[in-house]
Amino acid sequence: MLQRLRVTELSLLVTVGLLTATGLALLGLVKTGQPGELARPGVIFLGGITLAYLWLVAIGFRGDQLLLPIVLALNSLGLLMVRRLAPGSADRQLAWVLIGLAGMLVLVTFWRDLTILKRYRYLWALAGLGLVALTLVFGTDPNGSGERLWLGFGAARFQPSEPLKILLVIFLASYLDEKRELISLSRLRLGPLRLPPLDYLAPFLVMWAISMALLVWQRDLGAASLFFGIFLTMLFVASGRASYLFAGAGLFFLSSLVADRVFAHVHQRIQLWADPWSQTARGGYQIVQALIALAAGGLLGTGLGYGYPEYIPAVHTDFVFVAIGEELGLAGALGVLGLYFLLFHRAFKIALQAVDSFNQLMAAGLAIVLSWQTFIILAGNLKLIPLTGITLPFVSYGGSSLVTNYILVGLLLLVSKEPK
Amino acid sequence: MRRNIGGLFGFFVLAFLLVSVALLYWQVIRAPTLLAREDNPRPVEEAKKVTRGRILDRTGQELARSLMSRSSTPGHQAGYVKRFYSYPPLSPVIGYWSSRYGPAGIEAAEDGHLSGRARANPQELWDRFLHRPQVGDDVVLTVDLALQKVVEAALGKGSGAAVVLNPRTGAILAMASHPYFDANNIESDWEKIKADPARPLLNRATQGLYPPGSTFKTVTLAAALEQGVVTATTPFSYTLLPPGGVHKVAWHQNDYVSCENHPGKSSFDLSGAYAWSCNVAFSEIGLKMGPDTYLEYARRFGLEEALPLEIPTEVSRAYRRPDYFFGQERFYALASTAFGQGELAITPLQMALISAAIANNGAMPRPHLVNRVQSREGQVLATTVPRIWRISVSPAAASQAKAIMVYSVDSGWASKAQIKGVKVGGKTGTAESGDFKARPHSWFIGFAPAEDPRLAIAVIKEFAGYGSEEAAPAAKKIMEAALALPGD
Repeated sequence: MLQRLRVTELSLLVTVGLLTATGLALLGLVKTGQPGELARPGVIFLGGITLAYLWLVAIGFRGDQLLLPIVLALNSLGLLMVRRLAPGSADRQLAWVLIGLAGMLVLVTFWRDLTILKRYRYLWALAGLGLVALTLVFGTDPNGSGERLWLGFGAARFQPSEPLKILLVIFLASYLDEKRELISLSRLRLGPLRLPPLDYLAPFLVMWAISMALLVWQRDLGAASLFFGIFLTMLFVASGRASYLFAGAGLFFLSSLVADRVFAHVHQRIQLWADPWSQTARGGYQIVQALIALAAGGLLGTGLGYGYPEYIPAVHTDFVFVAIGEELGLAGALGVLGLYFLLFHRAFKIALQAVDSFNQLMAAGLAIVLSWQTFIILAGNLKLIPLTGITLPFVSYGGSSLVTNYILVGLLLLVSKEPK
Repeated sequence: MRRNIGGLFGFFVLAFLLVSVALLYWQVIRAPTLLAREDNPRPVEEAKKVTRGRILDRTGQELARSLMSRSSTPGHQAGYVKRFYSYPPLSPVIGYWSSRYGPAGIEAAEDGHLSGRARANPQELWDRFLHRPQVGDDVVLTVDLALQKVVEAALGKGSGAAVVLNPRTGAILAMASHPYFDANNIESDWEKIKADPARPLLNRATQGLYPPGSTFKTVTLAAALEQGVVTATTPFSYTLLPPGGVHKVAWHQNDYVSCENHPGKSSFDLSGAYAWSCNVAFSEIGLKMGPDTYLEYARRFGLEEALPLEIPTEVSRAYRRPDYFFGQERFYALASTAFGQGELAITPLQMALISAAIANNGAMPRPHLVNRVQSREGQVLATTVPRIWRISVSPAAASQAKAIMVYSVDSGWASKAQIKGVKVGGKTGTAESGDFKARPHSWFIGFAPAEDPRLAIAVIKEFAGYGSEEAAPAAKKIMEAALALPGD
């Protein structure tokens, strides 16, 4: 009965509801003096959550009960921060949340057979390549970032690299699942080095080439490192060979060094990362302001609405985490990290518990997507690695990213309800 | 494969631990360095949200106040405060408060109190923690607005400066510097104000260095009386040679000093020499004392010393070149310094303090502009305690010098400073500015009433001519108004 009514999920969702209501009331008070100022988006969001919960109960869904509340807690915080940092975009973001939630529900309701994903793997690969090709040819740059990463259809725009992540994971899971047994049968040698079998080597080289193309041609360091990272870690999961991981990472690092020497824009990016302090007039301003904002937050933060994160250019897309660090302090930022940790833990656990090897590989791949993406953007925000323009899952502003991530969660939920 | 997934999860745990450490590094360890950077906009933003305390004159009249705007108007954003100055001629003293150009003057000196930052009681910290609107404390000046207006009028349109202070306490009752700027327009007119060749940003009263002319004979007089080099009745007699009346001296490059400034008077005692401002007599007095003794008195009267005041001051100088009094020109140096020229470069405030020292039994007060700091509700938080800055001469020497200064107003060149029914002491000065085509600076220093001095004054009108014709009558108007003020 408790399982049927999803009581664990319900109690956690109530917590998310309280978090949302408190956050919006606080923001309303600080910005206008009226705690009810932001009641409307709050009611819509909580209404969406309630409907989603009731829907899952109604269809008798038996999947994981922790994943959705964790995601919604992050998403609630994201909505709050977008409303704080870019009030004009907040309603649009809320609409994307509802679309994402609906997409996820449709997926878990009607997609009963995950083997379809496995069977038509070349269709997914083709779709993915098609998206890349379209972006290369028709890509637009609506916000002047210098990176043509969007595809436009009239008024609507989306970032093809977002759905591409999922297509890549599905394809790789299917491909690696089938070739898994070949791992020990390699007879290829290059001098003293034993190379992986051709079935690994070929896609390995293709993926590397695609990442480098992304890096150099589209200047999308974020997507390049994300895709290559996804590929390498999935290869590791399937093969258990850490040497592939290190070889791939070494190759990526070396080719980045070459790109730094050969391509001026890559060189500039890396220079800005290495020393932004003396180059605030030439693009270092953004990261320097971000680090100052973090410093201003200190241990406990300035309080929601009392900081000055708006001095960081593109704060609502690229630096939401820094804004959280300023206004909620180290305590709040570590809390957010804790939520992500719970999310990854849950995602990896679903992968571990999956029985079917394809499902297991795919779930691991999806967990990897979330983890890598979060790590890359956070490490970029904190100047651990060069900054990239990818989004912080469920928190940054961006519709393509939100919908994609909800679909990703839907797939994880589907895996979690398979018989164990 | 499960083991691989577990290993990967471990890898990501390490990666996120790294992120946590980076957070700790930027938010705590590196925070002080980062926050101190000049491109951190937060201090300025925070300051714009504080309702700064008011600056009041000694009678409680508002000189500066901050207004928080509820709605945006051009140049005044909602939620931010703007500073208004109700009496712009006081800008050289009060300074300005600008988010772009920082604070200056009293605004800078009392920034801690005006912004409320100096308060650190538990209630204040709690209010700050709760983001309650902050209101700074009020600063009450020693300046009297009514008197200040009289001073501004007496100075007139030309360049110059005037200081009126209480010789016992050092409280500055009025301080004017012309030309002045308008602190209300500091942001819009910054470039114009800065580039103005008349230098309106310079507070001439505290930072303007001028040759003091004959007013400096007061220092020579008091020093010589204390040293016993002369007494009030020491006779001086000279043979004046035509044309106009010059006197032959041993130390001057042309061997002659003009006595044109006291026509027809060739014999007098020390009082007369001071009252008629005889350069030859004072050069002889200075030479009798010798450079070491003379310079010792110059320092006792505050020269070559940093003058303590809330706002910036310039050090008054007895010489530019260190060997001026000891090199080839040593006789000329001492002789001309003794009557107020030489390399002397002195601020009007310093001259007012010299006059105050004579009036105050030889004790020079420490000058101050801030009377007290009080909360918006009027609770007094800090009060300036009057102090003596230095002892210049003995009470006996001061008393004799005082009598001679009164004589100088009663029957000398300073007679235009006479006030009916009040015994005024004073000395005029007509100082060569170094520019021989321009007219000399017109000086007056003095005090009143002589029996129980309540005010000491220094007035300089740049390039205005004779001290007796310009500065003395202006000082008279100022002193009349100052004497009419209720005492403190």
